[in-house]
Amino acid sequence: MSKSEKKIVLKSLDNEAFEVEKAVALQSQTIWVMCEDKCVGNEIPLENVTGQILAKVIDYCKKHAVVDGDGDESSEELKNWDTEFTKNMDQSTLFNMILAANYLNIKSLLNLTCQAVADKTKTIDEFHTFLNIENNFTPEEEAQICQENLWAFDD
Amino acid sequence: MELPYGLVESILVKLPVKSLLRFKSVSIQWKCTIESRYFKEKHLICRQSQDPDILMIDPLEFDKDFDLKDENVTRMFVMGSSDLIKLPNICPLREPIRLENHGDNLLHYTYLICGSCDGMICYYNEYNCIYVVNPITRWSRSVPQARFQAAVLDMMNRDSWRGEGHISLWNLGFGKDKFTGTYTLVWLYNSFELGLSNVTTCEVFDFFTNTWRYATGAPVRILDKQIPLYLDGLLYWFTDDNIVETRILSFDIHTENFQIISKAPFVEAASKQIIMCNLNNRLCVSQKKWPTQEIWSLNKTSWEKIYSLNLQTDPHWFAKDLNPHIFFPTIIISCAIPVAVLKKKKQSLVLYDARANNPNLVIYDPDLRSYDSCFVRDYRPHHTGTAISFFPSLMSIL
Repeated sequence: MSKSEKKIVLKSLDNEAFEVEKAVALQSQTIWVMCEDKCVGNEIPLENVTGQILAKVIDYCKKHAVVDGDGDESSEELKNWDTEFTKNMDQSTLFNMILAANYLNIKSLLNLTCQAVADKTKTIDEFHTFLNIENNFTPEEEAQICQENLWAFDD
Repeated sequence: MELPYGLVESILVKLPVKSLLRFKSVSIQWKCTIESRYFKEKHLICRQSQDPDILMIDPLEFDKDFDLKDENVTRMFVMGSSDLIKLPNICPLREPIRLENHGDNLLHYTYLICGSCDGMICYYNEYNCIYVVNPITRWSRSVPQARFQAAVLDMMNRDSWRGEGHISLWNLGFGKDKFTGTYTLVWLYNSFELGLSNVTTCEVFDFFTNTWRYATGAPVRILDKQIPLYLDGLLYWFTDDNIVETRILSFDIHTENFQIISKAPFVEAASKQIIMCNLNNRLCVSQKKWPTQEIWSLNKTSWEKIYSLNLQTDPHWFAKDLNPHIFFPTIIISCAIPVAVLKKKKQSLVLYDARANNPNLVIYDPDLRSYDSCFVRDYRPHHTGTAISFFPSLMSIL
């Protein structure tokens, strides 16, 4: 196999190009299907992901790629790496990482980022802000639900 | 920008139960999601991929001065933290039973506890009450008296126990039909002692119709005072046969068939210092021969010894023999209970011995062959509790 066949170029929404090993990129089911269908050349345009986010996704995929002779990484070390990876991400980055992991269909990354949000977001207000959702209960209904689950509100 | 709702759900399933109860007030859609059976099951499966938490339950708890301090104290130990959370008592207080023709003598009892199934546990006594509860959501449901309970109560009234010596007890089993997802209670007991025909009698509780019915009993007698183990659609008991060695009996909740599945991997079960447990989703049996206790795991058809423990520790986390002065010895398990294996901590084993001088949750490190205490418990002279592993869930039985 020639060198060019093992590499692939991923192009972000804002036209940033990333050359990566095929094994790294193929962790994305979306990219895998695109390559399998031969519907793209060696350059894959990813219209939903910005360069800033794509760089992070590629970091993750590089760490998790199973490359020949590089399988010694213990699962514990990998887990620690994952924890560090999401630890300092702000809410908006996490939000975009979830969208990217979903679009690129990388299950383990989606799992990791959702878990990070679940761990970081504690209060109802934080969820309202993070997910940009509206409370469609009447104040009376809301009070009643709170009353029913009163104990869950005391810390 | 908004996250697609499917992704919101992917985040929600990873939240702890307490947060989910709180987040019901976020929106109508969230409330519907969180209360749906589909979501509850997804949440449970997600939780089961992690290490279990541990419930420490003391049906009767005494303080330092031997006074009955609190009834039915349940605490939750969250693995990986050092928190011991006291849960509210969702079980009604015990009320002594007045027997007929026994003057002012009241019948006292303590609650017994089934192992957990999908985050729910079952409190009951041998006479008149059974409750299934979810200790985290505080959901509870009362179950009508089983025929076994009525028969035992009747015998207490008439002093007509037919077995030798003390009245024997068979414990209630709690499990789930794997194919239909329906929960059930199974009460299996030896017939002779209750003056019934056949070898054993089996009662099954149907939560839909809220009634007990008989199922075909097991063809062999079973050991008394053991707690049936639920694992993956089956309930398990040790058989009691003075001639043949102790074997393991299984009951398929879906087909309601009993089967002797295996010989237990030990020969002397006479001491009865044996216990069944679920470690890493495998059926395990453990036997104590002071000062050692071995744990065997069933791998398809063969038994594999997975731990060999030396119980002589300093401080004394494990007890050699049953303390004769202890109250209600019937509910005390006579060996260290293997509670759970922690994936996060290199297959460390969590153990608990209620009869020890220092009844503590203890973690055993198989590499270093050393013990460590999970948390320091204040000293209590009479401790009748147990520890069970469980996965906090939103489940209930309607």
